[in-house]
This record gives sequence, structure tokens and C-alpha cells, in this order.
Amino acid sequence: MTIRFSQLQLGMKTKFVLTISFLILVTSVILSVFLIERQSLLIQKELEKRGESMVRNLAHNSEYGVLVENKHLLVNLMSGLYQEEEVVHITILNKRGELLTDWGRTEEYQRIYRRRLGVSGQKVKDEIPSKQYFVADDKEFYNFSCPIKTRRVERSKEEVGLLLENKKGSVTREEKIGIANIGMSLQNMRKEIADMTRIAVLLTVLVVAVGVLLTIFLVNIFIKPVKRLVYATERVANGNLYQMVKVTTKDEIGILARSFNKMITSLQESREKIEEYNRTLESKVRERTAELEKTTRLLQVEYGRLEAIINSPNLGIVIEDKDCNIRFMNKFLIQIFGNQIGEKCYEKFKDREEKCPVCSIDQILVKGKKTFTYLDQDSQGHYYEISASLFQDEKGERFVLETLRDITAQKKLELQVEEYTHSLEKTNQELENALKSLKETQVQLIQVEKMAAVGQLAAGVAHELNNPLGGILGYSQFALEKIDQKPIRQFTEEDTENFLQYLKDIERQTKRCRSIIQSLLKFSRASRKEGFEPTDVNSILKETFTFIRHQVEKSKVTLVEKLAESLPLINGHSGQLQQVFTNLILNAVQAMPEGGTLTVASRIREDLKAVETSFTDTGVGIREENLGKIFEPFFTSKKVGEGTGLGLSVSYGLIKNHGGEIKVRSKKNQGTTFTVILPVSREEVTPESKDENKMAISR
Amino acid sequence: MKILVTDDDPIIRKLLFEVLTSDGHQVTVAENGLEALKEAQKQSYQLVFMDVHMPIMNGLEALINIREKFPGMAVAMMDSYPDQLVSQAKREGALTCIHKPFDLKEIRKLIQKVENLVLEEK
Repeated sequence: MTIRFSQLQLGMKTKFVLTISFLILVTSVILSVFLIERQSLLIQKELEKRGESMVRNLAHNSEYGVLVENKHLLVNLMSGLYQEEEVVHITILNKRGELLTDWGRTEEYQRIYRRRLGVSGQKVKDEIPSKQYFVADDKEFYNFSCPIKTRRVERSKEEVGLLLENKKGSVTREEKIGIANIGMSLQNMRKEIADMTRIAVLLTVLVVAVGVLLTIFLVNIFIKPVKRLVYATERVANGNLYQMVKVTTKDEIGILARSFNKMITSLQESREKIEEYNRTLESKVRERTAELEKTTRLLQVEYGRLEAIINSPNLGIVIEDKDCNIRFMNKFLIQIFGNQIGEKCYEKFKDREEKCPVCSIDQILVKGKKTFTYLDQDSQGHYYEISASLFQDEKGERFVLETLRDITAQKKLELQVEEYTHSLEKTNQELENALKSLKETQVQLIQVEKMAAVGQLAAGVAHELNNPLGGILGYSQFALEKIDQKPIRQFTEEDTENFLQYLKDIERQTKRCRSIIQSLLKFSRASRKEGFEPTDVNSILKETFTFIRHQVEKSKVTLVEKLAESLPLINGHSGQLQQVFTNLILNAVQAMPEGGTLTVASRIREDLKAVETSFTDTGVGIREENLGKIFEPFFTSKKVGEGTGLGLSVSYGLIKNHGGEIKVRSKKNQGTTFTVILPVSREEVTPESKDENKMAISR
Repeated sequence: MKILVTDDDPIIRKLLFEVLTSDGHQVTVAENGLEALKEAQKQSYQLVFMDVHMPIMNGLEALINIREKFPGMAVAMMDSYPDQLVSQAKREGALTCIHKPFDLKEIRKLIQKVENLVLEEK
């Protein structure tokens, strides 16, 4: 683009210069040629005029000389003309054409003229024209001739002193008496013309040169602002809108430059405006885009919602036109009836050949109801609750939109409800019976749990008793055998000593049995006690250990007793407390199948005014999720047949009965601690227990 | 005959030691299953009396160990009350189970039986 611009510019300048130069040249040449021609002609005419004038004068002046034919007079006349440079030859002829005198500036001119005038001897042969141009010996010549005349007055009457020239009878007659010839050379004239021409050509060349130079100079001056303008235009075209043109002239270019600057200024403003618009446009576009995105998201959500509604698994949606043609079915209906779009609804849904007697299309489109709800049964025997409403598409065409809810199950349910009600009543009765028997069973189970505890006690009792009994039986039999083998009389001292030893063993073992029986009786007496009374927890624990120790030790469990030296009495039921302690100890033993340590501790809880007993094992622990359930009846983690699941719930009830608490803390694979808290009895009357209390407080 | 008596109750140990020694047997006593095993490792016994319920190692465990390591030893269990351990001991190859309090005749009958068995083997 820019290259083409500069080419055009260069061309313009060159063209301008060339055109102007050509014009100057042509004008100068034409003008000078014309002037030269004109000047040459003028010079020639002037020469002719002079020649004619000179020959007339000569002819006039030589009248008398010719009349008298005085040669000398004539030469005298002629000599005045010798001064004229151009004059080269002069002849004067008489009336008879005889040569009176002739003069040549040189011999050559005389010879040329004589030949020309046809002078042979003293005679001129030919008639001589008044003006004659000729070329001889490559030289140009003019010959001017003029007749020499004289006036003769013939007077018929002659009157003295009276001259009547115009009177008839006095006629003035002119008579030719000779001819004057002047020959002129054109050589000087030609020289003059040539000089003039030379000067004219020189001048023309000068004018052309000056003109061309001036043109170039002026064109440059004129073109400079244009160049600036073009440069500025290029810059602007390339996007630089801050390019002003510095042109100070007041001509059209100046006007153009000012207009250009004005235009640039307004372009700048326009561009700034456009940029401003762009900026606002961008932010607007961003805003709009954000809005659009938001709207799109909302639409997507809405679309998803609509899709979810349309595809909801238990809702049929169908759109029908006024001619009962199905226009849309949702997935639910397509699954049931297949894709029947374009078919008649009554044919496909109802298996009919004509419109249904109850038709939602009639109700909505013909009768103009807004909604219409009814129950209907399809050809497959399903019941539907149908809600129809008007639906218009974007073209305004009216359709009926039906939502179908399959209520077959509901219908069936309604039928079944009665049946169920009956059976429910029956079941209710059964449940009541079951509850009754469950309650009975519960009572039995509590009894069973008690029996289980008794059974475990019995095992302990059996072990405790059968060993000493074994000793007693064995030693008595052994003693009898000794007597059988040898009568007592024959007993040596050693025999007697042995015998006494057997008897002492028997006695010792029997006493052991008695002591066991006594504590058993005490234990059972305690369990038979009905009422609450001030009770020492430590003594109950010790009695419990008696029967339980064997159970504990045979399970490789070490029993560690950490009982407080003395405890305040509590208001308790020793039998129930024994049952609880037995249960907790046996549970702990069972929690340690690989053996371990069971620590039983009792202490005073001053803060609670209570006695706390804790049973800490090193067993498997209780799972966290089971911690809340262990006091529930029938909950057990033991195998079927190993536990009733009532032990802890019964214990819980018994301790609650004492106004106490039973708590559990457990860590998997580290062990469990059961804590029984029993409130101290308010009827602390015995001085012993009072002392204990003081001791406890002083600690 | 070499007999090992295992019981945690000293009166039973003492009784059986005295009775069986006076019958002419070589009797060793142990207080629990672990001691019995140690004794059995020291020397061989034709008969082991083994109480079921003992601390440290009960009779059942001792029985299983003895049957495994010394299949030639006859083991007679003794119990003071029947329970699961007793019935399991029978399954684990105990010769018999004597219930406390036992008759001395019963003990002797058992020893006779073991002696016969030993003779038959020979």
C-alpha cells in the first residue's frame, strides 16, 4: 500500500514537471520561430521599402541629369548612395534604354547585374520590373527600378502671369525619360537575421531551462506538504492516530492538512470512544456471559428436575392432541405399553375402537375445563388415577397433558387391608398371649439364672466337700484294712502311731466338711433373708470368695483381694448382694479363658457417701458397641447354652433396688471393670461403724 | 508298679501315697498338672492318678500332654464333681474316671486292671 502511494507520488511529480517543461519548451519554440519569421519578414520589408524609396529619389533627382544627359551630374547624384552598405550597383538608363551611367561596388557585382539586366553594349535588352529578386552565385540580390519622368505643359493659350492648370486646353503630360536601377545585396540582411535567430534560440533555451528548474523547485515546494500529508496518512492507516501534519501554508494543501488534522482528532476521539465502548462492551459481555452461565446452570438444574419428574419411576405422562393421537409418552408408559406415539390413545391404552365414554380430551379441549381428574382401568387391568390438564405448545396448539399414577397396588391394598385387619386382630391376640407367656418365661429365666448361679455354687461346694470326704472315706477304709490285717492287740507302737494319724486326719477332714456346710448354710440363710438390714460389704465379699475361689483358681485366674480395712454399713440385702457379686466374679472368670488376674477392691466413696466395690479383670473386654447393651435382658455374648443373658440385667435390677449404681468400663483385649456403688446406710447406730466413719473422714 | 499321684488337695495326695506305698507300689506325688508332666519326663509311670480341677495346669491339659508324649502311660482321672472337663477327658483317652469320694477297693481294682494290661502287652 505504502509503496504504491510513493510510486504515485513520484509519478505525479515527474508528470507535473515533464508536462510543464514540455509546455514551456513548445511555447518557447513556437514563439521564437514565429518571432524570427516575423522579424525576418520585417527586415526584408524594410529593405524593400528602403530600396524602393532610394530608387524613387534617385529617379526624381536625376530628371534633369537625364534630360540633359549629363553623366557627371548623374554620377554626382549616385555617389550619395554609395554610403548605403547594401547598395551594390546603380544604373541609370535613358529613354531609349541606353546605359547613361552605371556603378558597381565591385566588378563582380557589376558583372552579375549587367548579366541580369541584359546589358549588351550600351543597351538594355529587356523590360525591367520595378522590383526583382534573384539569386546569383549563391547570393541573394534585389533590383529596384523606377522610371525617370518629366512633366511637360502644353499650353494652347498662353496668358502672361496666369496659370490655369485645370483649364481645358492646358494639359500636363508626364513623360518617361529614363530608368533608375538600384541593386541591393541581401547578404547583410541574412547575417542580421541569422544573428537574431541565434539570440532567439539562446533565449529560448535559457527560458526553457529556467522554466524547468523553476517548475521543479515549485513542484517540490508544493509537493512537500502533500508528502507530509501522505506520510501522516500512512501512519494513520497503520493505526497511529496521534500523527498530526505540520503544514502552515494557507492554500488548499493547508486546508487539506487542517482538515486531515481535524479528521485525525475526531478519529482519535472516535477511537477513544470505541475503546471506551469496547471496554464497557467487554464488561457487559462478561456480565451477560456470567448471567447466561447462571441462567444455563439454572436451566440445567430445571431441565434435570423436569427430566427427573418426567422419568419418575411411578408416574406416567402422556400428551394427546384433540384427535386422541398420542404425541408423547414418558419412559414409564413406554415400558408398559411400548412406544405408541402417533397412535390413538383409546386403541392402545383401552383396546377400544372408538373414543372412551369418559374422555379427558373432551373435558379439557371441548368443554374447556382446566383440570380433570378421574380413575380408569387400562386394557391390562391396571388402575390409574389420571389428572388431565391443558397444555399449549409454542405455536399455540392445544393438547391434553395427562399424568397417570398407577394405583393398582393401592386398590389391591385396599382390598387387602380388610384381610390384614382381620389377621392383625388375630395376631394381636396371639401377641398378647405370647407376651403373657414371655413374661412367664422371663420369670422362669430369672429363676433359671438363679439356679445357674446355684449350680455353679454347687460345683464349688461339691469340690470343697468331696476332697475331704475322699480323705475321710479313704483313711477310714485304710484303718479298717489295717485292723483286718492285724488285730489291734498286736499293734506295734508304730502301727498305733499310724492309726492315730489316720483318725486325726479323719477328724480334721470331717471338721473341714462341717465348716463348709456351716458357711453354706450361712450363705443360704443370707439368700433367704427377705428384708434389708445394715450390712457389711466386705463380709459378703469374703463369704462369696469361699465358694467361688475354687471356680476362680481352677480357671487359672489369680484372685487379688484389696478390701478396705473397714467399711461403713450399707442398707442391703445380703442374699441379693451375694448373687450380684457371684455373677460379676464368674463373668470376669469367663472373660479370661486363658487365665489372668481378677482384682476385687472395696473402698469408701466420701464424695458419694457410698461404698464402692470394683471387679477388674484382665480379660477380652467388651466391644464398644455392646457396652450399652450388656445390662439389657437376654443380651449375651456367650454361646447358646452357656449363659441366659439375664445375669447382668438381674444384677442391675438388684443394685437399683438398693438405691445404688452399677457401672462398666472396658477396653478391648485389656479388660473390664465393673463398679458397684452402694449408698451408706442412714441408720448408722453401732459405735463401731461410727468410728470407722471418723477414720474414713480423717483420711 | 510305678504310680504318679497328682492332686492339688494335700489330703488326697497323702492318702493315696500312704495306701499305695503300703500296697508295695512306688509312688510319686505332684501338686498340679505341670508338676505331673515334669515328673513324667523324669521317669516312666505305669499309672497316673490325675485330679481334674487343679490350678496352674488342670488335669485335662496334663492328660492331653501325657497322651501325646508318653502314650504308654495309663491315666486315671479323679473328679470331685462331674463337668465338661471330665467328659472331655474321657474322649482324650483317659483310662477311666474315679469320682471323689472314692472307695479304696475301686483304686485297687483299677491298679489290678492296669497290671493285667501290662502283662498282656508283655
